[in-house]
Amino acid sequence: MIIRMIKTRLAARSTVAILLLVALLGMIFLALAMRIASNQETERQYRQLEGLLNTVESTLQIACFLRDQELANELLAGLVQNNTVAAVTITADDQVLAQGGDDSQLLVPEEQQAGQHRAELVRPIYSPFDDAKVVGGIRLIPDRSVIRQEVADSIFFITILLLVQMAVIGVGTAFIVVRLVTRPIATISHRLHRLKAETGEQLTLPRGNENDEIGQLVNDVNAMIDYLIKILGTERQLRLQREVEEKKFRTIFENAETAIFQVDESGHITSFNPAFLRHFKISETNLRGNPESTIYDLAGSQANLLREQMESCRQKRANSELEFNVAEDPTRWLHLILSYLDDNLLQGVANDISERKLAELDAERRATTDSLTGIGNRAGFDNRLARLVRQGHQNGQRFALLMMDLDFFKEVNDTYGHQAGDQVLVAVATTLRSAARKTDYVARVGGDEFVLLLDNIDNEHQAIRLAEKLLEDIRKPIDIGDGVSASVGASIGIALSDRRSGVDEIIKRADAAMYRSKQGGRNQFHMG
Amino acid sequence: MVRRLFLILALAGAVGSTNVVQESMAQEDDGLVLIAHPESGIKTLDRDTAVNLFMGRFTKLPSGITALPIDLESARDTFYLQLVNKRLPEINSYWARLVFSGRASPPRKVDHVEEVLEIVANNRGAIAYVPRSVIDGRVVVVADLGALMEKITGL
Repeated sequence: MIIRMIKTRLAARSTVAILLLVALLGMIFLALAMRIASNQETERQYRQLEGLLNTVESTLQIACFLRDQELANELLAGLVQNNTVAAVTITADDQVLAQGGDDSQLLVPEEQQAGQHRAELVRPIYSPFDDAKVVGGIRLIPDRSVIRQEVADSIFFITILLLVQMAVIGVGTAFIVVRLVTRPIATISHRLHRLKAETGEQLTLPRGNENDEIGQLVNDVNAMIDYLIKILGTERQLRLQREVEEKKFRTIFENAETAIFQVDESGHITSFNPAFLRHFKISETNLRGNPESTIYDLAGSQANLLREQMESCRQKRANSELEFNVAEDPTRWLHLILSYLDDNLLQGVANDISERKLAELDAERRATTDSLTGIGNRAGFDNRLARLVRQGHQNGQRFALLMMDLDFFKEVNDTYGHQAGDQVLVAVATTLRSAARKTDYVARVGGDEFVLLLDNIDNEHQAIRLAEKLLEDIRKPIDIGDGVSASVGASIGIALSDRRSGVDEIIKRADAAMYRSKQGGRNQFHMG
Repeated sequence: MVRRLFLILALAGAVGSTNVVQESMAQEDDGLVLIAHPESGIKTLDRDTAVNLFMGRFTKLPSGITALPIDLESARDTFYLQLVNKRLPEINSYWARLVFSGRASPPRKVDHVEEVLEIVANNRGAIAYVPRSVIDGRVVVVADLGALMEKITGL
C-alpha cells in the first residue's frame, strides 16, 4: 500500500525521497559523531587515568623500589575500584608484583589493541631516590565498555534529535508538497476531468497559483482548448459543407436523366447510377448479380465500335464522343461521352438522344425520299451514287446504274388528269421496288424519270435480266380507278461502273443509253 | 613539564644542600663516611648499593651477609640529604608508608657515635655512617659520602 502510494502520490514520493536523504545524512553524521565522541571519551579517560596514576605514583615508586607485593596489591585494589580501569599490572624489574581487574581485558594481546587509540597506559616507574633509574612499570588497561557506554549515552541524544528532525522534515515536506503542488494539480486534474472542452469551457485557475508554473499550465491548457475549439469549429463547418455538397452531387448522380458510370479497362462497370440502368435497359439485379458482365455485353452489335472509342479515349487521354444504338433497338439512341480518369478507369456519361436521333433520321429520310412514291428522290440518289463511287474507288466493287424514262406518261396525264398520273407513278415505283433486290436503291429523280442503283454487280447480265423484267412488268395496264386502266412503257439505259468511274461520267453513260432506247422505238434498253 | 619543574627544584635543593654540607664541613672539617665490619666481605660500596641497603630494598650485603643498617640519630639529616638528597620528613614519610606492609623496616636508630661503632664492630653485616674523625681499627670505611656526593653533583 505504501509502495502504491509512493507510485501514485507525488507528496509521498517527495517525502520518502527527502526522508531517505535526511536519514542517510543523519547516519553519516551519527557515525561521525560516534567516532568523535569515542575519541574524545577515550582521550578523557586516558587523561583521567594519567591523573589517577599521578596521584599514586610516589607510592607506586616505593612499591616497585622495594618489590613490595603487599603495597602493590593495595595500590592495585585502589586503582581497579575506579570504574574506568579494567585491569592493572604492576611489575618490578621484570617480575610481576601485582596483577588484577578484568582478566579478559588483561589477556587481550597488545597487537590487537594497537589499532585502537591509546588502548592502554604503560609507564615506567622510577626509583624514588633516583629519577634516572627505572625500578618497575605499570600497565593500565582502560575499560572500553565504559567508553562505549559513555559514547552510547551521548549518541543517544543526537539520535533522538535526528529522529525528531526527520519526523519534522517528513511531515513538513509532505505538507508543503501537498499544499503547494499536489493539491493544486489535483484540483486542476479534477476540473479538467469534468471539463466540457468541446463547448469551449475554460479551466479555472486555483487561487494563489496565478503567477507560478501551475498558473502557466492552466493558461496553456486554456489556450490549447481555444485553439482546438476553433479548429473543431472550422472542421465541423467544412464537414457540413462537404456533406451538403456530397448530398447535392449524390442527388444529381442518383436523379440525373444522364447515365453516369465508370468502367475499367476490361469493360467491367464499377459504378453506375439509376439512369444508367434505364438507358442501357438492364435491371440492377442483373448487373450486380453478374460481376463478369461488361459494357461490351450491353453494347451488343456495337461492342466493337465502343471498344475502339474506349481505346482511343485511353490513348489520347481526351474525351471521346459517340452516338450509340442500344440493345439492337433502332429507336433507342444514346449520346455517350467517355472521359479519361486514369489508365484503368474511364467515366462514361450517356444521354438518351433517341428523340433527336429519330427526328434526325426522319428528316434525313424525308430529304432523300420522294414524297409521292415513297422511294428515294434526287438528293437521296445523289448521296447513294456518290457513296457507291467512293466505295468503288476504295475496294474496286462494281455497281450498275439503271436510268429509266416512262413512255406515254404525258399522254396518261393529259387524258386522265394529274391524279391518274400520280397513281401511275406510284404503281411504277412499287413495281421497281418489288423487282429490285432489298439492297438495291430505287429513286424518282424527275417527273417520270426513275433510277436504280444495283450494288455488288460483277457483270451486266444481272442488270439486263432486271431491265427485261422491268420492261415486262411496267407494260402491264395500271388500274387508275373507275374501272379504267392506263398503260405506259419504259426506256432504259444501263451503265456499269468500273474502278475509275466518276459520278458524272456514269450518269452521262446511262443517260446516253437511255436516249438510244427512246430513239430506238421505246420499250427497250440499251447498255451504255 | 611538572616533572621538569620538579627536576629543577630538586637540583636547586641539591645546590642548597651542597652549601649546607660545605658549611658543616667548614665548621667540623669532618665529613661522614660509611663504615662496615672488617669481615663484611666488602671493600667499597657504591651509592646505589648504599641507597638500596639504607632504604630497605636490599636485605643482604653484596657479599651475601644479612645487612644491618644503622642510623646515627644526630647525623641522619645530613646523611640522607647527602645520600638521596631528601630531608628527614620525606624519609620518615617513606618509612611510614611501609609500616603495614612489613616487607622492609627502617635502619635501627642509635643515639651515640660510640654505640654505632660498637654495633658495627660486633656485627659482620652491620653498615653505618659516622664522622670520619671517630673511626678506629674495629671498622673499615667502605665509602666516603663526600665522594658519593661529588658523583651526584657530577650527574
